[in-house]
Amino acid sequence: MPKTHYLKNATLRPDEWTIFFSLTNLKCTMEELFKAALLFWLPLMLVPTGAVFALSRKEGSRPMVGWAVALISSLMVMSSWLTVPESDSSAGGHLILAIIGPTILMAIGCLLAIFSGRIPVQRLPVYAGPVGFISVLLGLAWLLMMHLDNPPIWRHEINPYWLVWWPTFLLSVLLLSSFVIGAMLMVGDNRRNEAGVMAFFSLLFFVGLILLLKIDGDLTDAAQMRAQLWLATADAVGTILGILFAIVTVALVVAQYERRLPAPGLVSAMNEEEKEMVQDILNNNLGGDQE
Amino acid sequence: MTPLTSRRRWPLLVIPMISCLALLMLVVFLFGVGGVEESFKRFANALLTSFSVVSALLAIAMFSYADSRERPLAPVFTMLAISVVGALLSFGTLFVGGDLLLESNGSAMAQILYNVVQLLVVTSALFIAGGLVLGTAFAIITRSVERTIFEEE
Repeated sequence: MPKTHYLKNATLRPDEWTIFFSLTNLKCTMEELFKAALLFWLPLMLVPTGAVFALSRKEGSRPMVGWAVALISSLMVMSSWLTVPESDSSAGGHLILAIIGPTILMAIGCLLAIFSGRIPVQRLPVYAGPVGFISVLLGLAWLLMMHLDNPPIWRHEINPYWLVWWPTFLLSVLLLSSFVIGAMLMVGDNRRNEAGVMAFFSLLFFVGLILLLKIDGDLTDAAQMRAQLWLATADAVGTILGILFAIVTVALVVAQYERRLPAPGLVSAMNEEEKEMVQDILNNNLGGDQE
Repeated sequence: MTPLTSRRRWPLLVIPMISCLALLMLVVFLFGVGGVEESFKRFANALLTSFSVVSALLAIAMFSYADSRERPLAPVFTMLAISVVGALLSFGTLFVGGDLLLESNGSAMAQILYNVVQLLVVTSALFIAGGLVLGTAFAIITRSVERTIFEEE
């Protein structure tokens, strides 16, 4: 029997078609899940793993390998919106890619501004200070323009995580700068002037935030921004509380263990050999006749 | 100056922060909040996700604590304590808020994956904001007028 004839006549009952489509969908879903796991979730886990690996011991090529793994994994996470566009999680990678530019600009700006000030070592030239402050302002202006005019677009609409990140960032800057003002007044010795400048910085952010809550952007309106700020507050408070609960729980267990540890036993007195060794070490380090 | 450890000065740390947050929320309410029906769900998801992830990391860290202090059962007790607190938190949030699935997520698996990415986004915002604020604060401090520590006689 010719093959075409077989195919023409081949038909399935409705229940068989259902099973066929279910299996096909399952296969597609499994493939998509595997792809997302390989190209997004695995690199996402490798970023902190590589960093910890690099920082844990500085022997041989370990730091270089660790940082290389972290860097390549970061690039894979940021390019996940191209490699696994069907995965909803890739919106996270897309957002990180969108904010990496202003973040680097602000980080460089902060470093230049700090190290061009009155520090005892490795002071940068005087002009690095203004360049640093301009760099920070440019980074902030970049983010502001993203809000007003050009938000990160993912699947033809605003990246949903941008609507979480931007209000959380603004809220965090405002609250942390208020915290730093308190810390300067409490911990610092006569740091009222610096606290005043910091208060001005905080006030600028507050006024800017109020304006954003009132002015519509091209794609984000003020009402949506207010709702997102409220939800971002819920997110931030929930995240911080969750972290605190976890730390307190583990700290309680550690405290219980430490309380039950036996007192350290008495150490026997040093013998002559040990005394000589200590004397040698002291002479080598305190004598001043070494090279 | 009152010493750092004095309890009288601790409110200075949090009063500006709480005042700012209260003022901001007042402004948001005055302007109109809009549709925020999912705020408790977002809070509960953020709480449970951050608790789970940080607890897992700390439980792993407890293995090195167990090694250094010769207390091999420390990770087991930590996991037990974490499970109890996690269960209490989960029951509490489920009791108050009921279903914790957000509208955009159809299944528990999708919600979990969404929560993990959301945690990454929120923590990245917190860290970048922290870096900016600390950087600005140190830049202000290092550029402030040089002060004399000792007066010459």
